[in-house]
Amino acid sequence: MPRRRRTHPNYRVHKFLNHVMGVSVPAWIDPAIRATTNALLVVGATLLALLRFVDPTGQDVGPILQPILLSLNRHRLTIAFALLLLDLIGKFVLWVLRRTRRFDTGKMNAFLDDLVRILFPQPNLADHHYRATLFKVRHFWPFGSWLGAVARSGHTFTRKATILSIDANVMAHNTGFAGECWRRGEMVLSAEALPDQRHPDVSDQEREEYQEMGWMADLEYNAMSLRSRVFLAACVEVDRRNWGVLVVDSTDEATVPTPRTEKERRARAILDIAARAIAQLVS
Amino acid sequence: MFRLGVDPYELQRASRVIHENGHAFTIALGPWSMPREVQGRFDPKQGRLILEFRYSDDEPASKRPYIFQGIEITGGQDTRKVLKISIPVDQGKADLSAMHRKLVDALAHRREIFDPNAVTGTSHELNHDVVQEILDAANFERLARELVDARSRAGAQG
Repeated sequence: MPRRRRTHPNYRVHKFLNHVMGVSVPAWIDPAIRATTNALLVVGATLLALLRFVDPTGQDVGPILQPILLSLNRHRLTIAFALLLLDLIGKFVLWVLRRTRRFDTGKMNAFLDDLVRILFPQPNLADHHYRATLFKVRHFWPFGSWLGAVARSGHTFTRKATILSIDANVMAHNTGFAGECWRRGEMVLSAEALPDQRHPDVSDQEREEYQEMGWMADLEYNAMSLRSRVFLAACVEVDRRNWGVLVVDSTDEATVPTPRTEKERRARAILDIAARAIAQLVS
Repeated sequence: MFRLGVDPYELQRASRVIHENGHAFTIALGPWSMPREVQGRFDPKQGRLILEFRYSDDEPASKRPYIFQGIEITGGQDTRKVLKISIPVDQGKADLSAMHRKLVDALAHRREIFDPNAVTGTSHELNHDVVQEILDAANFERLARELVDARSRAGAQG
């Protein structure tokens, strides 16, 4: 049965939204907010308690401190409410930060590096690239859902701008090996290498064949910085929902996990463990 | 209760090569749809042999089991992967080969109702195939050991 060419609706909107959602928050923000709100609460509460029990009038604290203390004493209830409000805002910001950044990207990248090393024990690094990428399911009403890269292995081609379409209702709107994996809820592995796209004179037929074999939309193909030939994709489930997709790809034709071989079984076993480990790390 | 461990990488039907438009790719059962263990026990009160499949997650069972010739196949609430099979046992001596034939028929019948054009969540098909592979005659006999023992005891007492 001929495949219908896959398309990615709202590609540019998804690209923009993915960029906004993917803005990384520095790791020091979290402890900084916690420390500031706690310090304000302790200092503020101590000050207010002192003012509550010490009569500011008639205190000889000097011409500068005297009016400040009087003002603090006069507005102490407002200050107490303001401090509490600040604490609540701080806690809310921390909650949002923890929800959006539920895993350490650096540790995840290191994990993906290890995964690539285990999956491809004898890489031909002079001629080929080997990479692992973690995609996360993202939604934004009314623009639908997509998979956005959140972590990637290696030191080259690490740009995390890749997005792929997913749609539970229209088959043609599920793109890439990752989209096909998400759609099926199964592992999807290359059984043969996709046509080589690294030489300068790629014909239209080769390009079409590549897109067809990789369920790739036109815009996605154009945006690809590395056109891999072998893909292995596994779903990552958290709380019985598809949280995302783990994709390992390579330009090396020799890494195809030929069906019904030890190589395929090994690849499946490693992906199986990696997907479960990632599910633990992100939940 | 008899527990049967499952080696996911030895199962032939846990993966399948799909040919589309002259191109091939492999689909394989993911970690959350692959049974890790099967437990077989006999419930004398209900007079049924119960086969339970254990997975990495704890998906609740669907409230509406698939029923064919008295055999109840309970799938997962969200994924429809096989969680439990309940087989009625006739009074008197348990005929395991007849029970197994009925089970094979029930599984084959359930396989036919899957929609081949479903857009999402097709993993229950591979899960079903794997369950069929696991429940071959030899494994079924092992899982039904408790039933056979119970019947032998009843025979000795009677």
